[in-house]
Order: sequence, then structure tokens, then C-alpha cells
Amino acid sequence: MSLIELMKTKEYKDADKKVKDWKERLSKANNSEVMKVKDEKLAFFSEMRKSNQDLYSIFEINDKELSELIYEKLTGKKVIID
Amino acid sequence: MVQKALEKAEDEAQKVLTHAKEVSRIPVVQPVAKDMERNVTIAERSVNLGNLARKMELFLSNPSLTKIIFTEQDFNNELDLREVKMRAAERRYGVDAPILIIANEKGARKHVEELETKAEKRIAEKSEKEEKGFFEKIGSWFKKVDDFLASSLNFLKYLDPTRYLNYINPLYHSNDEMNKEISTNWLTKDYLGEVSERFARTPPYLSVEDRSFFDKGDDSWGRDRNSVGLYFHDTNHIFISEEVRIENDRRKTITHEQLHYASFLGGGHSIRFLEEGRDSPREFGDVKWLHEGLTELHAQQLVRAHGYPPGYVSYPAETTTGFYMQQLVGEEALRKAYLTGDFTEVRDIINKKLGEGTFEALLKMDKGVEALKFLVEKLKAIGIDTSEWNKNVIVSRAGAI
Repeated sequence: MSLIELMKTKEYKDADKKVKDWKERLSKANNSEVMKVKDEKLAFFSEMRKSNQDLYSIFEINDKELSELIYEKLTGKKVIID
Repeated sequence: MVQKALEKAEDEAQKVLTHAKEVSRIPVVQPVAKDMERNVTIAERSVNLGNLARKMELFLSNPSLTKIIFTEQDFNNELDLREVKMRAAERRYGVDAPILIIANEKGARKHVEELETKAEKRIAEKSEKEEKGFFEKIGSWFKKVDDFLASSLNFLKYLDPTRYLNYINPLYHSNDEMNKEISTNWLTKDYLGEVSERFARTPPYLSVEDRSFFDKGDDSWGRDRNSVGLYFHDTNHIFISEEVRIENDRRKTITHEQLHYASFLGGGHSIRFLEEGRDSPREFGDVKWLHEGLTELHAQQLVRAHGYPPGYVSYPAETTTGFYMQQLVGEEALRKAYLTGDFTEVRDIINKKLGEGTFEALLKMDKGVEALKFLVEKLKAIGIDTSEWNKNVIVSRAGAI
């Protein structure tokens, strides 16, 4: 299955929804909310990375984007994570 | 006998540090053997009295002190670290008064290993118990020297005010030993264009770190032990994981991170373009998937052009989308846009070929795979066959199509 075909799956749609929710929550989060999002997305993407690497390769950009945002929210500093 | 052994050990420790000083061209604080024996490292006119806060207090309040030694233990407390960073940057770490404790890790470690091997060999040759004890003691001395160098290096891991790093940058970049794996010379004036002068003046500081360092980062931003390259804007510091052991992959990772910096310098992180009838450019800001895709695409093409094909392609969908865009607009136009953030030419060509508003719609995509799907459909609709493009080694290795 190509990466584009993976977009039709339920797993993709569910994960996409979660990412949008985390981004929304982070945009107005205080520190404790940031930490909650951090833990949730760590658990979610760790599992995805183990169980479906192709799907993770699609969402890696979101994982990294959220991580950078979390770091900036917590420290006030910018980082690029690869 | 013991006294003689200690004197010898002190001589050897001195040799290691002299060597480290030579290879790094950076002042190295000299440990005094008897203090090392007590597991304390001190230097002339330095302070090493108790905890970090006490050290800082003494250091900052006494202008006659020019050196301070921090150890890894000092930086276990994140709050302390922030305090040190702030105060050190403000008060002491100006270019005129650098306080520098570092050694060339590779060179120093190699030398220490050589000495240890030599000592072990001699132990094996000597059967007398007393002699054995003597050389075991020497061995422990070398370990302490090694620990000292390691703790000195940890200074940079945990304390990196911008001005401080910028000061030592030229020293590192004049160091052939450190530069062996750095691909700065691939990022030429022709390649970087208007960014090249600034890049040459303030090249990024680069260090290779072990997994424990990256784990600390991954713990703080919530990733599952999978980061291998980092770029910190405020310190202009690139970190590469030592786990990237294959040379070609390592070169690609370094080049990828260097390109982030080059693009950052030129304004490439903020996409903008001029539209007809408008005086000021339209700002789209940082489109992560596009920036990563173009960074990986350019890194892949650079390292391959120099004969180091990497074993994998990061961000497969994003990179493939970047490649398709490159085929549509040309290498130079895309690279210029990537490095400067001015996507006017790229936007004009894409919209002309694929329809008005196509580029703007692409930028609104959340991730590379969405952009790739959109682009593939657009190309199909106007009858552009991508089968030849898909034969490109980067696209085929990415495996997104």
C-alpha cells in the first residue's frame, strides 16, 4: 500500500484527528496542559511507530512539529528536531 | 615507590592534556594530580567549592577569577542550569573574556586509550605483585584523566550561551580533526548564493552526542528515542547522534541540519511571495512539511553528488513532493526559494502550469502526504506523466509513491 493509499484507512483518519486536537490544545495550553499533550502524543506515536511504520512515516512530520511546539512552549526556545 | 608512581602519573596526565590542547587549539584547564586523587579538578585561579550556586556566586563576585570548572553533576538541576546560562551569558561569557574548558574528545580519548593499552601491556609483562599494583594505580589515573576530559566536554553539552559558542566556532572550524566529517565545504558560494557570506562568517557549531544526550531531549519534548539530529536556533548548534554510524548517513544528517541553518539565515523558514497588484509580499510563515521536504531533498542531492549515497530518505512523502516541485520549477528557482523564503517565482510557475491557486492550496496542507496526493491529482489532470520522475533514486528510495 502506498502512503497515499494509507490516507484512506481508519487509522490515518483517527490519527489525523488526534493531531489536530493536540495542535488546538497546545495553541492555548498552560504548562500542565502542555505536559499532558506531551505524554499523550508520546504514547500514541510510540505505539504507531512499533505497529505501523508506514503510517508513522506519514505522521513523523506532525510528531516532530508537535515536539518542537512543546519544547518552545516549555522553554521559550526554538529547536528543529529530526 | 608510590611517590614516584604519582609523579609519573602526573607527567602522563600532563601529556594527555597537552595533547588535547594541541589538537583542539583551545585552552585546556590543567588538573593538578593530587586534587584529581580526591576526585576534584581545579585550575589555577579557579574555584571549585561545593555546589553550582556557590561556584557561580564566588565566580561572579570575584573579578580576579578567570576560570571556573563545571562538572556534569553541576547541571543535574535544570533550574540551576538556566540560572547559570543567564548569568554567565550576561556577566562573563563575552568574547573578550571567554571561560573555556574543553578538549578534543576524539584525540584525547585516543591518546588515553593508547596510554592505557601501553600500561596494560606492561602489567602483563611484569609478574611481581608490587609492580602490578603500581600499574593498576597508573590505570586508574588514566581513567581519572579520561573522566576529567569527559566532564570538561559535558560543559558544552549543558552550557551553551550563544556568544560563547560563537566565540569558539572559528576555533573549531580551523581544526582539521573536527572538520573531517563536516560538509561545510559543499555549501559553496554558488550553492548558497546570498546566504553564503553569513554562513561562512558564523558557521554552525556541530557536536556529536551519545544516545543519553538525545534521550534527554526526547524526554523533554515527548518523542520515543528517535531523534538523530537537532538544530538549536538560539545557539546555532547542531547535534548529531553518534548512533548514525554509517558514514554516508552521517554526512546526510549533518548536511540536512546545516541546510536548516543556511535556510534559517536567509529567511527560508518563512514562506512569502509577491502577488500581482500588491506592494507587500503575502506571508505564509513556516510550512513545516515543505521546509523538511526541501531540506531533505537538497541534502540528499548534495551528498549523492559528492559520492555518498545515504541508505534511507527521511520524510518520504515530503521529500517526494519537493522533488515533483523541483521538476516543475527547476533546481535553481526552488533552491533560491528554499534558502530565502521568497517563493514568488516558484508560485508563479506552479500556478501557471497547474492552475491558479495551486501553490496556495499546497501550502495549506497539513502534511507531505496530503500535498503529494493533491499534486499527483493535479499533474494527472493536466496530463503530466510522472513515471520518469518516479525512477529517480531519491523518489524510489523514499517509497512514498
